[in-house]
Amino acid sequence: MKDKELDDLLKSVSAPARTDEYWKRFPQKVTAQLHWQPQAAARSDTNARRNLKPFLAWGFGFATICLILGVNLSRWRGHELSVNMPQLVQAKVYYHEIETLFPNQVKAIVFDREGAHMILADKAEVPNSTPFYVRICGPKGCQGIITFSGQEVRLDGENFEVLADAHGQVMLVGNDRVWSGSNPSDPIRIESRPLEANL
Amino acid sequence: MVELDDEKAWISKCQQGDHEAFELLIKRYQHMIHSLTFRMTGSVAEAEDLAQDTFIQAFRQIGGYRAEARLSSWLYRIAVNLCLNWQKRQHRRERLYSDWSQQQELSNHPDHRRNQQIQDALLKLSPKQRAAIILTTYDGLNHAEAARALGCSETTISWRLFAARAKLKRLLSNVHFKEVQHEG
Repeated sequence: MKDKELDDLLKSVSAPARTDEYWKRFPQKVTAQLHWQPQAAARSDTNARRNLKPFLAWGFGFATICLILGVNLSRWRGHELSVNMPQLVQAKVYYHEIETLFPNQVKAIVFDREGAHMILADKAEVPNSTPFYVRICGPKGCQGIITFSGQEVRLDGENFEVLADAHGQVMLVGNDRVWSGSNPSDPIRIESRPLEANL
Repeated sequence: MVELDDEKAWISKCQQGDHEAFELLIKRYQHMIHSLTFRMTGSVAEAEDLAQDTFIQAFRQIGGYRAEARLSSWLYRIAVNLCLNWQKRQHRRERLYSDWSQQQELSNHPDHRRNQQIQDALLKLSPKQRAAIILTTYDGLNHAEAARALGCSETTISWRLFAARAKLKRLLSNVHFKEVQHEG
């Protein structure tokens, strides 16, 4: 095969087509992220600083109690997982900002170590339903997600459908596995609360 | 010329933090960047994420952009670097092949299979070789421009292209011959 033939062969494959609506929305998605991410980063830094001193004090106190009472580490881990009020408040603020910009398009908002990421539908087709704040902790750390029952989210490169029961308990349904966080042998732990829970 | 003048004005506004001007720049370059990120990853979803990250990073760095390089080359560089970093993340490759197999099930059309074989072959190149092929063959950059976009020498580009072409010819020999027979 000659270089020219190879080039022609390669060029014969075009990138997948996307809808006009997608191209129209894409710039807005980017600028919405720009509008929003610096705030998220700043708030995250502020919270980290604000939480540092109590955390250290708590850590020393806890270590002392450990020495005295022999409390094991697993209890501490359980405490770390808990969805706490500042997280819910912060998540609620973000959600309402984004929902105002993209009504009925927000499928999920993911908070991880790299910041916050929105998952938006191309059209205003996401039904009105109760948003949940879900906190998921696994071997790679913890993530917070604002989402709705029935939406699909991507975690660690895998797609999961989020299903919530009437009590606000959430399970993630993947192609070949289900995570509810209730099984101690699960590699991940899940905790969720309705976003509009009493704060 | 008018387009370039527009672009200069938009860049200047972006440097002052104007999001609306940045949307105009995105509109101009979004197809180009999506194309690049798709060919680098083989995944429509990942291509979108990486395209989004490219523009976010571009906006954050646009204060440092100087007009010596074309904006397209500057964006290419950001996108390629993001794609190269993306390759380093674990599980990506497995997911990629999983995406493909799902796509393959969706269509048994000969053209679709052929396109996938070609994309598959591209993804079997090392990321740096792939980037060299994409920038020169698909996007029409010359060796000097590709070298600037990839942050390496022209000689390095030439070697990467040589190696990439040899591998692609081997991987695509069947595709090529089928096509010739089909046309014949």
